[in-house]
Amino acid sequence: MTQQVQVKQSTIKAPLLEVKELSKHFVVSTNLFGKPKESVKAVNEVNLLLEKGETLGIVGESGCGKSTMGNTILRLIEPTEGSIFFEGQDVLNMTRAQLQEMRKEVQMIFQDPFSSLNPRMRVFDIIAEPLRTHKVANGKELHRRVYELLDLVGLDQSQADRFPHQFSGGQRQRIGIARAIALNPKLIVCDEPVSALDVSIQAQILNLLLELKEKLQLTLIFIGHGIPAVKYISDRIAVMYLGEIVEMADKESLFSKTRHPYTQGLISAVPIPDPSLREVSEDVILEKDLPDQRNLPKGCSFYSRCPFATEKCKGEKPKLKANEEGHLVACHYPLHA
Amino acid sequence: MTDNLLEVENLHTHFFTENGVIPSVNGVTFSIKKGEIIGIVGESGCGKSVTSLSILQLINKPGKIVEGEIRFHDKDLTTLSEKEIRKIRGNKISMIFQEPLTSLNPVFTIGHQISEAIRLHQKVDKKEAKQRSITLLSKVGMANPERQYHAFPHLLSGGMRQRVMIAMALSCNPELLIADEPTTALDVTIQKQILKLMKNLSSELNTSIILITHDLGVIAEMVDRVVVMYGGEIVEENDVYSLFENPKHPYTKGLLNSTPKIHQLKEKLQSIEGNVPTPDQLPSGCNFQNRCPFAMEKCREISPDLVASSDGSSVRCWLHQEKEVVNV
Repeated sequence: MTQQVQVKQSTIKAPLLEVKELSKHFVVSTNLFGKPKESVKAVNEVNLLLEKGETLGIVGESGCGKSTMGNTILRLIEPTEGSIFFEGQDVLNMTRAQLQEMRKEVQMIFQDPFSSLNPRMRVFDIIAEPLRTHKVANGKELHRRVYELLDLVGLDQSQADRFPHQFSGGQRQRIGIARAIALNPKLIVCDEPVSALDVSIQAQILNLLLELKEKLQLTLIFIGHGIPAVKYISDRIAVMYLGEIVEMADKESLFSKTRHPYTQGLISAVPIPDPSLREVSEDVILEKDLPDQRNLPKGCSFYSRCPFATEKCKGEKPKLKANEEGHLVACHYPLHA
Repeated sequence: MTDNLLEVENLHTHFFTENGVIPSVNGVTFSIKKGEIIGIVGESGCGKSVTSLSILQLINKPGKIVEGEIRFHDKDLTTLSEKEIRKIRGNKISMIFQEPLTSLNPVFTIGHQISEAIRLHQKVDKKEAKQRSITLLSKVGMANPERQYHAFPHLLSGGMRQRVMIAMALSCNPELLIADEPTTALDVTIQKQILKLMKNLSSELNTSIILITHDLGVIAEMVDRVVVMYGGEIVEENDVYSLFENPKHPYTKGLLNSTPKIHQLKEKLQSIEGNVPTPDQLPSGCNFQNRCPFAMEKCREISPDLVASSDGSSVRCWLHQEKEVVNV
């Protein structure tokens, strides 16, 4: 693992975020003495490097740990092991004051715009809240900033006095975005920001995120299960399976030279909105569901569903390794080798 | 009459609420042949689910079918009594819902629930019903059906629960299956399995399917004919190949352009401006005029009719009503 991190590190100038061997285990049951008996490894020894200004997409099926990872990076969930460095600072060993300071720089956009906005607060106050909490602005300056943010996300200033329920899903997501960019953050973790929206609105929000990214020089982590949307917005994509990154590469490379059988299955499962390709598209159907996460197979976690699995895969866990092009894969027998 | 299995004609379903009448479905007309799979696409609030619930007479107060006919085997379902419709519902026409967890009863085993459906409509004893349920479970691809027969819904994953729903829906060999967003709550890999299963079963048993979804990808892979709905009305209808190749209604075009495509490299997504209207805030004239990039003066005043053309398509748009106007 450390080897590949070094490979990547030499190509990246200044990482904005570095995640090392990050794990989060949830204890499911304890024994008589309160010691953990069974635990689910939601995130398991994940390594990530995020360059300034890039968008990293994270895809995977539900339960693969992508949201847990997003939450852990913001320390909304305390990780079990590993370390996180934001601009070189160790996030996990920060004092409260330091953490507070860091949270200005790292923001989050949530999936459900219906439950992530306080129904009793007016839009103005929702967007103003981070500015007030961090004592960035008050009085006239606060008003100016909130109206500026409303403009940026494409909402009308006259809507500032309304409550969230008076808005549609797409508009609510815009409010959530305005709140997230209020403090001029460097990194935004977007946890499935378009999954709950209608198709015609999804495109609006994706384009808004792209536009804001350019304008405000943001770095994004875009978590999603809708692969086309993640592909549209990301520069680099990490594929997660059962808490681990099984493949990570530039977007073009990931789709044209897919190396992990799981990624291949995932991509081929995406319905293509073009009926003329119905017969042409080859199917790699992933049989079965995700295995029980309490007792994962000892070897490769994908062993039970992989069409190419051998004895080696059953016994030995493949490590995430890069090829010459920096395309990372955790598989003993990668495709396109 | 014709070889149509089901004909919906000029269906109007309205909801009578305290805040006034909400016209959820406004004059929907379509038909489905035996063995055909049709897709109804549209965004939230366009009336696609209300249409399907209307077919099964599952509209409860304050909703009401105020006008229209739904002919199934030339019998108008809207005139049947509750007792008569029960013989058809779940038997000849069955339905699969989006949320498999909320549509299964948590306190009964899945086997019990499938057997119940069989025993309700067919004169078989318990043992026979159990046998049939187990056969159905293996048909929908459940591993170890004898054991799973005794499982409670919460023990199963989302994909498995949806298989149970399909098994239950197929238990009486329905002629028509209505699937309302059957895979929206599932992961893509599981979605693929479920869609393949539905397609195989349809060709094997010659079951007609009405597939309701917002996902154009699912439509492209599954259906023969597409009905596009917007604001409680059908705005376009065509066979699936022509619709994707040559969409006519600006809304259909917008929908296609705003869908990110996995097999294309970055091209800026075009979005449809504005918001998806709820049925109580539709504009005057054409329902789509306030979001339409081609809206004219006329569109703001008079609502266009759904006009069928000689190539088998129909479209509700002023741009297509006067002899092949400009090809926008």
